[in-house]
Amino acid sequence: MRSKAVQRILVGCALLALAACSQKAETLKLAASQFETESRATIVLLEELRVAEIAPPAKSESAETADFIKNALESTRDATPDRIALWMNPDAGETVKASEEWAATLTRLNTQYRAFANTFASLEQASFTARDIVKKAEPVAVRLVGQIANFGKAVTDNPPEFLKQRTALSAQLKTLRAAQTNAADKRAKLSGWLDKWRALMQAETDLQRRIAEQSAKAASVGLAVVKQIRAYDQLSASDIADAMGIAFSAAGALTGRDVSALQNKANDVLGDIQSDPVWNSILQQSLEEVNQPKAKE
Amino acid sequence: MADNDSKVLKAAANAVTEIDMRYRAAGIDDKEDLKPKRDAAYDAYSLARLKLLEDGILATDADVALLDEIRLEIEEAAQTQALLIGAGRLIVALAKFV
Repeated sequence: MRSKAVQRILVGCALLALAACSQKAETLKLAASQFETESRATIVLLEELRVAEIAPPAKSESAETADFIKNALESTRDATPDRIALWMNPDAGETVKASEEWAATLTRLNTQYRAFANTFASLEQASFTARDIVKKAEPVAVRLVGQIANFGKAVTDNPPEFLKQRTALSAQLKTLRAAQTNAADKRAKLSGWLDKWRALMQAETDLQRRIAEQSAKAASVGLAVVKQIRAYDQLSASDIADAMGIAFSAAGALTGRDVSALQNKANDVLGDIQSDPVWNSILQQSLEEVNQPKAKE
Repeated sequence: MADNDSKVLKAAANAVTEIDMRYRAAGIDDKEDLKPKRDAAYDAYSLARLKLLEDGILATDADVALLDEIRLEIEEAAQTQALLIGAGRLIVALAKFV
């Protein structure tokens, strides 16, 4: 009885690539790819955070010209290319070390999520044979999910501060308050200033919300992936029933004979497969599961 | 760890604000002299923000190497499965002569 079941499995697998396994493989492959997409979207937002916190407010060409004229007249120093750049835009700055380290870290993160999705690229072609292998990715998957969730938490606990825009506005306020203008004019300007400040606070909150949201989205897709990986080596009774049902009917239809007629020829192939230890263990495990529904008959 | 890094971030933000307000109030030649310090303050802040995020990073290069190994194993398993499908076809072909 046992060897007959083996043949049935073999024929079913070979002819039909196990529909149930294949579907499971496709689902996992797609989910892992979706996890990569959502995670990398989170990483893009982290780069947006880096830039927003240190970037000066946008500056028009006419404002640049006005600054240049003012500073070129004021400076007592010789004009050099670096100085001309400073005179045009004193607000610009460089964060060399931080930029390099950020780039390295974000690249490393992107590599991790890409590597994770790539791991399962050939899974559909190995839907049955890779069942035990997939499980090895479980601890890594758990770590990748954990860290993408951590990024959301870190930004929630320590909200973004668009520092250079904040100080630019604070300096404007200082000038406004000190200005010797009439009260009505001052009030109008202060009101205009507050609108800008509110818009800045809103932009900070908005980025914080987008990061938290994207990080949560990526983590929830990731969690679904982890669950699929955890269950991947456990073919359910219905998976087996589907696969076996298709295998039996197809095997019968193809040959017009009872499956038992294939026994001798199948034994040769089975011998080859059993000589491979990996294959043999997969077969044995499948057998145990297949025998469960059989025992009910 | 993260608590401490959170304090570092706040301290860095305060340092940035202080030096940048001085910078903005200065004349252009003084700005030029202050600029390296101001850049350094922003650099420190940006590094502190990165540190907070890095506190949450759990996966390592070893994990990437492991994923690569798993990918190769899956590719090998795909070849094995292709062989098995070939074997199944052979059974069917041979069965015609049984």
